[in-house]
This record gives sequence, C-alpha cells and structure tokens, in this order.
Amino acid sequence: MPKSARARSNLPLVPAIRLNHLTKSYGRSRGVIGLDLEVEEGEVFGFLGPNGAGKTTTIRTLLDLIRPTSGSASVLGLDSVKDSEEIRKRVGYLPGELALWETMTTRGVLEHLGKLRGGVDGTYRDELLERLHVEPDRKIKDLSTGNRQKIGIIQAFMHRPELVILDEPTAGLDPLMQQVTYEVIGEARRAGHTVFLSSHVLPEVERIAHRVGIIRGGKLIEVETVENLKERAVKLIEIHFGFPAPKPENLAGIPGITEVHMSGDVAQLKIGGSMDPLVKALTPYEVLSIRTHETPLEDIFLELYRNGNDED
Amino acid sequence: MATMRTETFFRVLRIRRRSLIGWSIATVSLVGLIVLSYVAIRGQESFQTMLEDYPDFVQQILGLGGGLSITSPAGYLNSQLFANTLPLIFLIFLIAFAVRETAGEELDGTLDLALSHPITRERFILEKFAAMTTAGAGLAILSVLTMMATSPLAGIDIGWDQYLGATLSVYLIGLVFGTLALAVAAATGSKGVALGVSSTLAVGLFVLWGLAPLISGLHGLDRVNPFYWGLAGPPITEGIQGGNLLLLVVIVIVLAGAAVAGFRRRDLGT
Repeated sequence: MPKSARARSNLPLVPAIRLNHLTKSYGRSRGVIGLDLEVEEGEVFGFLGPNGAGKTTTIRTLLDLIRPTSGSASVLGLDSVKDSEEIRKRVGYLPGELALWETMTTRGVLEHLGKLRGGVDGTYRDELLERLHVEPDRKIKDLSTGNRQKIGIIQAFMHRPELVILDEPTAGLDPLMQQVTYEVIGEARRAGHTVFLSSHVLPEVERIAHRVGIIRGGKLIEVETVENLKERAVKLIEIHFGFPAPKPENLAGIPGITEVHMSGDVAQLKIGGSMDPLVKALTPYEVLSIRTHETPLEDIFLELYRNGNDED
Repeated sequence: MATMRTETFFRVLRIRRRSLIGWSIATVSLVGLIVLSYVAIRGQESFQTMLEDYPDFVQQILGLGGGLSITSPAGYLNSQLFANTLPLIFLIFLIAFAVRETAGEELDGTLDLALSHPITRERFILEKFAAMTTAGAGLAILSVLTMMATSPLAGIDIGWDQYLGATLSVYLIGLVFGTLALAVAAATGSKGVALGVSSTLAVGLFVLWGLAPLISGLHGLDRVNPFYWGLAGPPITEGIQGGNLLLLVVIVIVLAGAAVAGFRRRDLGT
C-alpha cells in the first residue's frame, strides 16, 4: 500500500505519475485532450477505456516515445521530455502492441534488454521465466502471441522497477497466466512499487486496482476508487415475503429505491446507495429471504460510457 | 555502465549475421568472377575498337572515360567493377540496411521496446549508423582481398593501394546514399520515402556524372556529385585519393548528423 512506500522515504511525496492538462493531437480524431491526473506512489491504477480512447497515446507520452502537443507529464517527479532517460531507467514498460526481434531467442531478447538497461540482476528474471513457464531457448518467431506477451511481462518486471507501466498486460494470456501476472503485479505493489495499467477488460481492473481512471474519446471522464465506484452501483435485490406481502407502492416510496417489480410474494428491487432505509422499512413485514446481486463494474462502466456519449 | 554502450550495435550485427554472410559470399564470388574473366578480354583489341564508336556518355558511364582501354587491366576493372557493379552492390546493401534498421524497426514495432529503455535516441541512431558502416566496411575489405587474391591468376598486375583506393571510393559513395537513406528514414519513419529519395538520387546523380563532361552547363555541377569524387581519376589508376575520400567522409558525417537531428525530436510511430 502507499503508506509503506511513504514510510521508507523522508522525501516530500511526489506522485508516481502526474498529467498536467496533457494534450496530444493527431489531426482530427485521435489523441487525448486536457488530461489531468495524479497517480500516487505505491498504488495500482487502472486506466480504462475502449480501444482508441487514448490509453496508448497517454502511455507512450510518459515514455517520451511521443511528445505532448500541450500540457505536460511528469513521471516519478521528472519531466517526461527533459528527463526521459532517467525516467526510462527507473520504469518498466510493456507496450500495447508488443513486438520482439523475431530471429532472437527469448533469452537473447531478455539479455539484450537487460544490458540496454544495465545492472539487471538475473535472479528475478529467471524466477519469472519459470513461473510463467517460458522456455528461454526458443526463437521468438516460433512463439504464440501468449508466449510473446509473457516475455513482455518479464522484461517489464525483471529489474523490479519502482513504476511499472503496462499497456493491456493480459491480452492474449490464458487465465492461468493472467493469474500469475496478477500475482507479479501484487508483488510489485507489496514492495511499494506503483503499477499503472491500461485495460479494456473491467473485471481485471476491478480485481487488482485501487483506483481507476476512465478515458473515452481522449477525455478522462471519471477518476474514482474501485470501492466508491462499486458503492455507487445500483444493486438488484430480491425479497421473498411471507404473508401479507407489501404493496409495490409501499416499497417504491422508500428512499434509494428506483424500481419495483412484484410477482406474488417476491419483490425485485433496484436500489442505489445505502441499504439502510430499505432494511428499516421492512420491519413490519415477514421477510423469508433476501438475495442481493451486486452490479458488476462492467455495468457501471457501460453506464458512464453511455453518459459520456450523451455529452457529445 | 560500459556494458550498454554498444549493445544496439552488436544486436544489429548479430541479428543480421546470416544476411551478412550471404552478402559476403555473393560479393566475393562476383568480384572474383569478374577479375578472373579478364583472361577472356585481354588482347582482344576488337572490343576496344567497337567501344571507341560508342558515344562519350556511354564510355563515361561504362567507366572508360579519359581514354582508358577496356583491354587494359585498369580499364577492364574500372568498366566491369568499379564504375557499376561494385557501387551498385554497396548502394543496395547500405540503403537496404539503413532503411531496415530504422523505419523497418519502427514499422515492426520493436523500436518502442528498445527506446523505452534508458538509451538516448542519439546513441540509438548512431549505433545503427556504426553497424551499417562496419558491415559495409567488411564487404569492402573482402572485396579488396578477393581482388588481390584473384588478379595474379588473371595476369593483372595492379597494386593493393589502387584496389584499396578504388574500393574505398565506391564504398564511400554507397555510404553517402546509405546515410542519406538513414537520415530520411530517421526523420520520416517511412521505408518508402527513404528508399525512394535515396535510390532516385543515386540513379539521378550517377546519370548526371555520366552526362557532365558532355554538357557544358553541367561542368561545375559535377563538383557537387558524390559520384564525381568517388569515380573521377579513376582511383583504379590513381590509387588512394585522400582529398576526394575525405570529402565523401565529410558528406557522410553531415548526413549522419542530420539523421540524429531528425530522429531526436520526432514522435515515433507504433
């Protein structure tokens, strides 16, 4: 958690990533517009959005592969353009569309990248090779997409960087290897390192991130903790009543209830926010069972996404 | 961190080693074959009589300007090797190398991965340039050695310094256009533009070099033509012409500087 990282250093706190009205335009449509964001040291931040929303553009700006049109980005307190080499020394990066040198072996690629970086201790790399079941002596051209992606993940983590930037890390990985990747991310987090990952797959982010930023059409439309997002979620509740069951209009008047559907003794309700008013209002009735379904983050996302569309 | 200094340079040569071996074999075979074929031309004065009827432009383009005879060892080698075959080998090899290693890597997407590591763009492009220069120099050295090994068999008596001077000259012509391709590819990220600009200029300037002695308006112009500085003399009779070579080296350095400048501030493609 962020606190352990903070405790280790007496330096004033700098965010791991700070976007200052970052804009990158490419002609008419693509790019990002006026992004403001702070990612704290030690947190796992999920950067969510549909394909083409500007996730990769933002990430490539952080690594100085492309330069801001206006605004700025700082990484570990350093300017993304001026101090790029120092940033890249301290960051691990997995590109969204990973490409590796086809005729080299896995080992060759990892050794080359390790030497480019300098001072990489091979033990963690070898451990990751083993945990991700990678055969180091096969040539890249003989590997499946999933196996290539594993190499991308290993090279992003092998030097135990204080900030890892992952563009769609689990794309192409089977569920077992996704799990290993989440574990590796968890280890980085426990070591006090920051992880910034983009995804268009929500359950993934819901699982491993503390906070999410949702980007759509180049604009950041929401930054919120996963917890709060879930709290804001509409819950579905099914109540089985004994006799006599309340009338639908009795239930509809309860604060927070947005929708009531009765069939016989069973009421299906949609509720937003706290459940407290509902629970208190139920005391006069005989309640046989209550079942609640939490809305998956997916639906919240779609909701936000729709709202975003309406603004256009 | 001394270990990282030339990591990209060695990676490029390692990845290309198969292709380099192929080019070496092809170059050695071709050069050797051409040198040995002199036995078929030697003493056949009818060739010379026939060629003397050709227009001056053709003689110049064929490497037989300035009264060189095709039946003499120097005239033969200049017309068969140094005025066309060898420059072409270096041009194709070096331009393709440059484009492949810059715009090619960018198109593949491996550039993103490499440059997300702590290596400056300046160093990256200079290491690519160094790899291209070294690989080309390897071919040049092999060519000289092949000439020296095969010419006694063909009854040719030409000194190593003449071979070296003539080979260095055409290698540097190739390097001028290779570095031009590097600069264009580094600045644009486009394989097509880099190939187009460098090969069109190479062909155009080669033709201009042939035409220059015939058209009075072009006389001064051939002084800005790399082919003039590489082929005039010709080096196979004059040997190492230090000034001309130095001039070509300066052009190469300026173009390498342009490659660095063009690559430094640009957005890289995915």
